[in-house]
Amino acid sequence: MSDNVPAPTGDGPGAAILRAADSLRSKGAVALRDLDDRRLEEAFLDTVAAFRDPTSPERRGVDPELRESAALSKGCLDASLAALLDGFSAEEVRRVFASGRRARKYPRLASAGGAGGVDRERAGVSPHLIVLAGSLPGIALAPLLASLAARRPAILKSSSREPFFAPAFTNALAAREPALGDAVAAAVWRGGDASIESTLLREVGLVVAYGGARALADLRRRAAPKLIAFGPKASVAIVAGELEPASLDATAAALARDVALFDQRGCLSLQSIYTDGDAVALAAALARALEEAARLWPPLALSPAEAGALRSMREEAAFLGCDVAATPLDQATIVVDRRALFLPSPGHRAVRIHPVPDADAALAILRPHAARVQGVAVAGAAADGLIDRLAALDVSYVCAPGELQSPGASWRNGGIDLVATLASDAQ
Amino acid sequence: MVATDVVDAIERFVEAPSAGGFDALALRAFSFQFENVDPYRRWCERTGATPAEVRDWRHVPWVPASALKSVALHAAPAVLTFRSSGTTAGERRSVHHHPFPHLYRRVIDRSFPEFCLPRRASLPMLSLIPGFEPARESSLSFMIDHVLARFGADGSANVVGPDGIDHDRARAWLAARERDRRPALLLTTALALDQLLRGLERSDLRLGPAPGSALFVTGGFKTRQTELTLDDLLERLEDRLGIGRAAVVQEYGMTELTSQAYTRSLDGPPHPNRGWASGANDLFVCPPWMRVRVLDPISLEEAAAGATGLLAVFDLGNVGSVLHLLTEDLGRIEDGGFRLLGRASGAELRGCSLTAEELEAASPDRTAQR
Repeated sequence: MSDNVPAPTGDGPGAAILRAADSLRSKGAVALRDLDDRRLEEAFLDTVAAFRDPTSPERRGVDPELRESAALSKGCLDASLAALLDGFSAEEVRRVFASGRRARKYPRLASAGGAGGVDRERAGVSPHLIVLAGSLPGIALAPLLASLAARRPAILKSSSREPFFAPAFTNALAAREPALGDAVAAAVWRGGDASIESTLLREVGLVVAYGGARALADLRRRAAPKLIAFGPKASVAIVAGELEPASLDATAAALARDVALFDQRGCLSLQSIYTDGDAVALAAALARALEEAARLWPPLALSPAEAGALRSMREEAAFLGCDVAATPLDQATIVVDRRALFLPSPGHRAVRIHPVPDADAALAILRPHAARVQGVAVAGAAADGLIDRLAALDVSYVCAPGELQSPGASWRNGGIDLVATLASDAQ
Repeated sequence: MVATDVVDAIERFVEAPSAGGFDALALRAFSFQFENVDPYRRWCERTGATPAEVRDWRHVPWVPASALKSVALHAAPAVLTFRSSGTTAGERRSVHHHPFPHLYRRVIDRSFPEFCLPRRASLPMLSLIPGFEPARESSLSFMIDHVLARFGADGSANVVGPDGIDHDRARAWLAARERDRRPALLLTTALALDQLLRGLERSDLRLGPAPGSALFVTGGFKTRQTELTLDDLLERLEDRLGIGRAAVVQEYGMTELTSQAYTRSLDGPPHPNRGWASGANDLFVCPPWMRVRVLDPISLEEAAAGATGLLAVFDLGNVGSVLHLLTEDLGRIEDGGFRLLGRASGAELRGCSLTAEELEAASPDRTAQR
């Protein structure tokens, strides 16, 4: 499964990580067993509330580094984290813990050795490894909560690009519930470091990984049977049926929020809009809304590579005769593209609006790419009729515009019941 | 304007470049494309830059390279059709409809030996690039087949079969060059070279072609699985095959172009401003019928020397398709050449959002099959 490289010894960082994994194995399940759900819920919700508030000591302690590592302005970071954390409401978090109780009671994949129980705890329970390969803060929350609900210890490996959020959150969590210090560890190492991962990938239970295709392909090569991979995806919107003139600006503002939060770097970030209505009017309204979004949640300056990618998109669109909104390159790019395509944008708030004859045409465009579609925001008079049809495409999150970044703690990303999967692993 | 007239004029220029000849020929070729490529004419008219207005080749409207994924642009019926790599259904691939393969061959004949053949002597060549017969949509395979036929000495071989590189044949060939002490030229993509070297490393083999041997390398360094660095690759090359950096020439080319830029000439002294010893060995220079500019991506004005921007290429060899191409490659002008700095679409900062590159990447090497 993994390269055969000797484990590091001594006091180096690699050895410390492996010792932490050993400690989680021997103490983690016991620590979690002795905590009731109510205490865990309260600790988690209190920590979420602290990170939802930009003036909290927790946020003030980590924000400067976080803004730097995630490359988000203060306004954009605050609004993005608020949107994400709004999904971790008391009701949602309790729903996740309830699903954990069910999963432990009816483990789907229990092996002959049994999942849970005294004998297993005595022998130790392998922690799960959660790999956060991307640069977005907050991505750790859903798998961390799932692991706690499943009562399984976890190691969170942050990417070296954004190494701050997960340790800050787990430290704050352990400050509220010290027993969790034995059940959760956050660490950073260079992904692919065989001196650590050769041993760790063998020792952990499951590997839950979020990131780009290259990072996931590497993990698949070394840990395929254990890997639960959440690869890169894109989100879209379908505006079906005419919008009331009065609601055009409100819909555009909500779509702009779905584009601008996290600077369009998340899998739930809106990249394309399909509409059977007036695409040019929608583009104009979206341009205004994204300029306002740039004021509220400013984007950072573009690098030459980023500017080059946006410029290439605009030049291609202009050559093909598409309408290109005259927005500043560093604020937004909006193109009315009459081709029937599912085409990811270069990011940095760049959106293609595709006019389609009807919603069926939009679904037909998405169908071949359904595995790459994470969320769909639906709007317009015919929006309700789309919900079941998108579910039939296995789109795991369908919502109103403006809600893409707040899927909720109980959202089954990619249709995977992560709590049940983590609870039932018999390692 | 008759196609043969302008193509003949360009062929004569390729054969014997004259000072100042490029500017006039570029405008003449622009007029030819304006007359003969309908979508391009409409574009020029929309932008208000027609042959009646344009007095400088720099102002000839460019076509964004990505547009060749959607629109067929050719000034005469295509004789060859090249496509960028990719295998997934529905994937958008660039298509270069090439009406003038004889011009393509003439361009290769004039530039390849100039840059890649020490003392312009024919050498035995080993190719790790698929031949044109099994890869008839690959412009690189077209080029390499022609190079092997035109410049390869006796014993030249292509060791790529249906299952990829035949490592046994490659090693036997290299060992034979070590024995007969004939300098050789290895033709490869970066990723194929990596595969060859990995094979040698696994077997702990070192082979030493004769002194004077060289390497031609092209293509990208990233795949969905891995990312190579030039330095690492060249270090391993020297270790396993004994070919040092000074004997390596990199090529910059793409499906959408006919001509190529190279990092250095093996046929003479290094470019005076490119001291190999200092490691500044990755500046590309163009043949006289090809010009590369760097454009500021915000203003689309020519960037100052040393500033990073998008590469715009004016290639007279492309008279049959698109003369002036705005690429998605980043670079900067330095010391009379240009430095390639990667792809604009591959911006480093990423979350978990899907990129076009990831959606479209089904083949490991974009340029290996250009």
